[in-house]
Amino acid sequence: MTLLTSPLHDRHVALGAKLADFGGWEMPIEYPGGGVLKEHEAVRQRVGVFDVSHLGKASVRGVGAKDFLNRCLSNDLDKIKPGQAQYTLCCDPSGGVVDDLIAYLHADHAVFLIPNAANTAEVVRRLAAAAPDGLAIVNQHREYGVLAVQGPQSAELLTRLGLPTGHDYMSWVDAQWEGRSGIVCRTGYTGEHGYELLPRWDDAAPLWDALLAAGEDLGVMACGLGARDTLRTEMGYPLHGQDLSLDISPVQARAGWAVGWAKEEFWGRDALLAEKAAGPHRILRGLESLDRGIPRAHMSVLRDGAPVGEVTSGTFSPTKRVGIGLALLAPEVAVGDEVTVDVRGRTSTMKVVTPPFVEASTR
Amino acid sequence: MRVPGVDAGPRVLLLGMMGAGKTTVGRELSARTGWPYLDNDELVALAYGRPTPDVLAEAGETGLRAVESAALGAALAAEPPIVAGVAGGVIDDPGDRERLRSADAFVVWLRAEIATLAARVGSGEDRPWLAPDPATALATLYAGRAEHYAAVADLVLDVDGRTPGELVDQLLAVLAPGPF
Repeated sequence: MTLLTSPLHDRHVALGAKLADFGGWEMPIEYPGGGVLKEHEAVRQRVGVFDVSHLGKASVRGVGAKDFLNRCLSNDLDKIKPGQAQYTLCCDPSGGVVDDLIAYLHADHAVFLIPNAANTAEVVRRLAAAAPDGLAIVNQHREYGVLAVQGPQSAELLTRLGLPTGHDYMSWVDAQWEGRSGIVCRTGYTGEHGYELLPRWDDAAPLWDALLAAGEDLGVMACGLGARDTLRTEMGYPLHGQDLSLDISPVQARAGWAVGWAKEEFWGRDALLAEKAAGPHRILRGLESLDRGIPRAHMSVLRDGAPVGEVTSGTFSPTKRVGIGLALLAPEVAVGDEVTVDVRGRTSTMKVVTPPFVEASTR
Repeated sequence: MRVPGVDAGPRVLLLGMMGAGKTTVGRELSARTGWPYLDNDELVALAYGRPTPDVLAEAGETGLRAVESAALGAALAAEPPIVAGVAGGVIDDPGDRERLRSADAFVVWLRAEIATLAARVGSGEDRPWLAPDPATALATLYAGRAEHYAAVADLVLDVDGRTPGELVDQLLAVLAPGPF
């Protein structure tokens, strides 16, 4: 299958980035001169710029657009106001997660969505199939690029380009840059103060160039999806396909905060209420290595020699200099317990913790 | 660019069976927005130099299809913002369906029950091809078209029991300019 490419593909190739398939898109993992550890550090201490244009973009427009989405997606859109964004889930009637996404409320008649790259078509298909007449579900995957500018110096960098920075976490504003229009969202996937910029597709490359040039003395780095993964894992943010999936419900993944339990209707409601009442048969917890072992997805977790679960995400934490991970564990395993993980034939001892592993600085 | 109202302005194409209200809704939308309305019959008259019934009489059904296809081409070539009604028969043509799918335009299907259409087109005196029984003739025409309309439409509006004003309200809520 031919991989799709972002509007910055030429830039990544010119920089010599290591490229890989992310949800059908050929995207950078890391850049020469950087690498995951340095790129991670740039975001925690200074500022990094990520190309995440592979993320989906879709909008739901028409009379009752917000109310329709509120009957589909898990979180309660009535809890936010126009100009705000919300983390939400598109669940299957079984309670499994088709995708996790961000909904950007513009007005009662217009909501913009950023689903994951690989799931966008399916989310759009499910919404279109359920939509009453008068609503348009528009897949805009290749109409906007997405540049994530993340780190303590992100506001300074945006200010240098004349972009707005003062809005609250999980809100967005309409913005102009050199006569081009786009959106500046106070969102991110790193745990740092940061922004996600949505330029028009063709404006993404000049914006990328401008960000890297304007931030040179700030120590800005182009960052790949490798660093994005270590940054999000330190926050305990789930990744769809690993920590959330059609087989892993939000009740299991401790994502119940993104479910509007009081709503009368949303996809998967009955199944999720039943699972919540009965108690999940496994719970997503954090693991922090007590030795040099690094947990990786699919590794078995044992307690007193008996299997109690499986690692869903794992990495070396560049900030804490220790192995960390997320794992689906039997409910009787408690925070504070010690468990072991079979790391390629060597037993590693890990402590069960509640993420985040590193304090968030998003606000 | 498939979402109008952002860059060059919208190009709204109204699709549907005869009697669905393409002309009425198109004129109402035009009156409310100031976007010029190009009616299919006007586009046909421009393309052929004669009104639709004359085209049918002189060139036959095949000739009319060709002229309606040319009328669609004119609607797709017109400078936005525009609103245009598309001839009912265009949807039967695979090539025109592909043009609609890939067009830089917002395609709206005005969907109607056969009973609604039959009531509106009346006895069919103005539309001799519907005589003697418009409801049966419309049902025959409609069979097979619905899935094609659904496949090319960016938006479906059910017209039954709704006034043109209500339909335009719904349409404008979709087309309203916004940051996204």
